[in-house]
Amino acid sequence: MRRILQKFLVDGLVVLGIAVNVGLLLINLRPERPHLGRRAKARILLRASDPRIQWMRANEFNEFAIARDVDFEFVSAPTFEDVHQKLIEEKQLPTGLLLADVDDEHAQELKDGGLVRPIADGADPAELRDTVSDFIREAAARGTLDGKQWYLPKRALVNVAVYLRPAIEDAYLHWEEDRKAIDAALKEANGAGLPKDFRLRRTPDRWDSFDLFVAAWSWAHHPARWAEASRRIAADNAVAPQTAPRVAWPCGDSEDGSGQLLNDLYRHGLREEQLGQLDAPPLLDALQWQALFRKHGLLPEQCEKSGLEQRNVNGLFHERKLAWAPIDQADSVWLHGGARRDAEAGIPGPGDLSWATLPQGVSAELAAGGQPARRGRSFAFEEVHLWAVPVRSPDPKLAFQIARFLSQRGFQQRETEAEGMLPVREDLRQDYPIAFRLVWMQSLLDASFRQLERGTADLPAGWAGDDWDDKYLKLRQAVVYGRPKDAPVTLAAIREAVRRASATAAAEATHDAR
Amino acid sequence: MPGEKPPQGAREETALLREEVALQKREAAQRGAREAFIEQLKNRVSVAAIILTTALSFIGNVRSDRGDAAGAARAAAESARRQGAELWAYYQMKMAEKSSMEIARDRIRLDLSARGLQRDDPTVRLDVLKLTGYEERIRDFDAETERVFFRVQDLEAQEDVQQRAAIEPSRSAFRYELGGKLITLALILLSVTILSSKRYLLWSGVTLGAVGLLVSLDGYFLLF
Repeated sequence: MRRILQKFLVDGLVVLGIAVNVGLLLINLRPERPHLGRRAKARILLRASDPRIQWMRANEFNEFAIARDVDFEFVSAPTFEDVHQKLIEEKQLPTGLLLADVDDEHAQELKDGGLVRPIADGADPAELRDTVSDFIREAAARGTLDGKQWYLPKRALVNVAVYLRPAIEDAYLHWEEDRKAIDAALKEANGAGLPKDFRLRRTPDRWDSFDLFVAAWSWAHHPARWAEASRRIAADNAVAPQTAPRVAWPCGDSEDGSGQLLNDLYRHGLREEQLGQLDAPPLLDALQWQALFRKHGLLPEQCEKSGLEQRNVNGLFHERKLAWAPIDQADSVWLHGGARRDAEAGIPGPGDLSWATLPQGVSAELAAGGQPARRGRSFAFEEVHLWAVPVRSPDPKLAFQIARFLSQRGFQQRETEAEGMLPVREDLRQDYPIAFRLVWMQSLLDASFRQLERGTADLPAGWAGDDWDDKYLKLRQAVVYGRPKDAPVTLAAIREAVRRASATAAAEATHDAR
Repeated sequence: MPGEKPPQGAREETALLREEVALQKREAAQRGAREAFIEQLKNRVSVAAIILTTALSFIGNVRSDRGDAAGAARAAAESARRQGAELWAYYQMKMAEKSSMEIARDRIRLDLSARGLQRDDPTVRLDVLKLTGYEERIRDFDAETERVFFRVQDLEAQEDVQQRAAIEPSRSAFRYELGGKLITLALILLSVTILSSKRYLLWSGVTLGAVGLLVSLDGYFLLF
């Protein structure tokens, strides 16, 4: 019996050995790794436009798809609010969403609502540590809640100022022609005029609210050769230089408008605990400047009507109708147009573009020494986009692997160059002057990283949640745009207008409650 | 005499002879068994050696293929990196040229400004002609450097992709190499088996060879 068993064992081993050799012979014929597994389907929710999704598919996801036998399907959402809504629907009726693109503003809310699960659940702890250590510490921290890695950083965006260099040159050379008029306009508002010894600073990087007002005044009162009539557009000089407002930012009651207003308040020194204090000096200062810009026609007409969203502001700049505007990295790359071979054409004469930090907010009111009574800072909210795993994600491990794959240096660098963003990897933040060698791209990234150093913060938790965004927009509408254009714009007048507007709002609220 | 009992000494001799014969028979049987065992051992070692040697040959080929694939991908990445670096150098040179044009343009503009003259002033036609020329060349530089940048972008993407493409064949090659080494060690054990005729060495060799084959097969499937 033992012999029979031994014989079977030996014969079995011989047969197995021969089979292995046949297998190795076949491997020799085609040595690439076989794709044995079933093809997996991965649905990814992205807050991105179709062209951006197509770029990501071709340049980032396809490589993963080939290597790991994954068929990607992308679900597009125009805003993060829509992403939030889709995640709620996904929780109720799962459709197989594997991974979603969310922003840090919604991170806590998504967790509290049970719409996502920690990305760490799908990761080996050592792998997760290794991945997280590649990110900028602050960016990684935005994805950490209660000491656990719920999200992985994807990219960041921060507003900076974009400007046309010839326009700055023009304002710098000629603003004094308007000094008297500017002084008179400001005197009407603050009783003193321009600050003592005021000179327009040469670079917008050092500007404060007065510099922006002066430059905007100068541009709005003289025909601009460097704008739409520039020879870069009209070589035959068919378009005569026009006089028009050349500064714009999102206005009206859109989400962009509310974001811009909050940025403005923080630039003038508002703190989170001051939200809701309607007599807070930063609020009055910010509204006084906006009223001043409006009163003297320094902003586009659309602000009087339906308002301007960021894309409208970008569109005006794209037509070379603006000289200065706040903008983020993705829009900057679109505006320039020279980021990649197949990019849409950008502004005519993109070489004239440059970027700076946003101006420091200062009060129009002057102190006894003739200098601004209150100083804020240069400020912009940083928006960090994160990879999140929906709570009913069919494969959290695969979700983590995809997020990790996409966080590699090469992908971050190419996406920054081609689509525009602030990289969230520490090595790219350190090496950006080496990694991004185009002059204009360096200027953009320099300004962006400088902006983060000069002033940034998380969005206040209650801004959208407690409807402060709506309340402040209504207040701005009443104080800045709800009064006649020639209404006084002194601090006292603004304070009175705020008081009246808040009283009206309170009365309406009481009426609604009844 | 017939019927006479053999002497005592002769009987003992016969017994001794019988014992001797029996011993010889036992020894012959043992020798036969050992020879049969050695023969069987040799046969098994031969079969195992043939299987492992054949496998080693196939593994050598496929390892070389994967190694070449990884090497080719790395070479392509390196080539892309080198070309990119050369183009960046060209870009820098163009930027330096552009800077000199910008300085020349700015000089004319500053001169016109200092003299309080506009571009349409008939007395500065030559200056304006030169100025326009500089401006056009600066614009051309911009267009050219943009093309260089797009090419560099392609090359950097290629470098990146090729670097990643080298990872999988490298992992395969490493496993094939490790498998090959284990099989070589197994073959050495099998050789020693023939010299020492120890069965446990045969099984050690076969086990090690089997592990080597498994590691090599993982070079293909990359499961671990």
